[in-house]
Amino acid sequence: MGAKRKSKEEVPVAIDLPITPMLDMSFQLMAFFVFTFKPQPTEGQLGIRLPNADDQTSNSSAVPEDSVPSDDKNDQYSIKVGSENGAITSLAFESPGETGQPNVTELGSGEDVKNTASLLKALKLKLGSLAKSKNDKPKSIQIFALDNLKYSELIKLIDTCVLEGYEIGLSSLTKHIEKKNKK
Amino acid sequence: MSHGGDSGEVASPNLTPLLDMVLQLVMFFILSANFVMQDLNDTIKLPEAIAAVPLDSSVTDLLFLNVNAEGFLLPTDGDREPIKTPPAIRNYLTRRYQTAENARGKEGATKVAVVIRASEDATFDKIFMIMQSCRQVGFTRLQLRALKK
Repeated sequence: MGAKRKSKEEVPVAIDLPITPMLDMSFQLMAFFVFTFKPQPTEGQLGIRLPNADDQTSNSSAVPEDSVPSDDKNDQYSIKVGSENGAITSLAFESPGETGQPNVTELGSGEDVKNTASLLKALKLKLGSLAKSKNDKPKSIQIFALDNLKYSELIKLIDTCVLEGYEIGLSSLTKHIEKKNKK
Repeated sequence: MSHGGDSGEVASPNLTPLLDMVLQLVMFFILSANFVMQDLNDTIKLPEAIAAVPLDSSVTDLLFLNVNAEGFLLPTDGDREPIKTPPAIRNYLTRRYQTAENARGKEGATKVAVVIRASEDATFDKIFMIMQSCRQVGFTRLQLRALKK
């Protein structure tokens, strides 16, 4: 009984937490993360329609003239992309004509130097002018590209069209030409 | 003359705020660290696009297809050898579609979004062939991945 009372009267011991080793460890962890830190560039998506499994047109309508019912041709524009060494060298823009025949515009034809940047600029202007002139314009574009077109160039083209608010479908211009030649 | 040094008191810096700050920095680096993502291949140099948008949060089922500059498919499961020929690519995609079908049913499998992460130096014919193969095996949704400009 006496011993119990004695222990109650003892002054509580202050616990001293050793901060220094904890701080050392934290600094080591921080150094590890600082040295291994590599910010990842932000990736984003461009949504496009899947091409048909066998045909060169995707989902589709538009361009390859004979195979498609004429009613379906009116719901989209098409762009035929010429390329050399992987870079875009020409853009032929086709819009549905009133008589059933497509109106073809060779973009950048008035310019001396044709490169990807100037052609895409011309395409942007064309799409901009279509947006102003027509409210019920087609909302999708079918891109026909040659086999050797570089993917980065294709993405630039898709990027320009998507920024103007169009849905994109892809087709092979090489296969389209081969098919035409066979006929 | 007293200089106050005779009392025997030890002056110790207060390390607790320093520790707090360091731990906060550690937390920041832990959270922003790049953990290895199995589906993504960081050797592929993606093209840049202004219109590229972040992935829609409603899309939960994704199939990443990494395509290198030669147009070979770099699989993200099993063996890591590049798949080079069109029939082999079709077989791989068929296997992936069947896996999705077994896990989610036929309807669920068609909702899987195929994300093509292709090198900027790949050519159109290779990418287009992969797209057609995707359609052949049954996929219906497609996204092209690019770096946000």
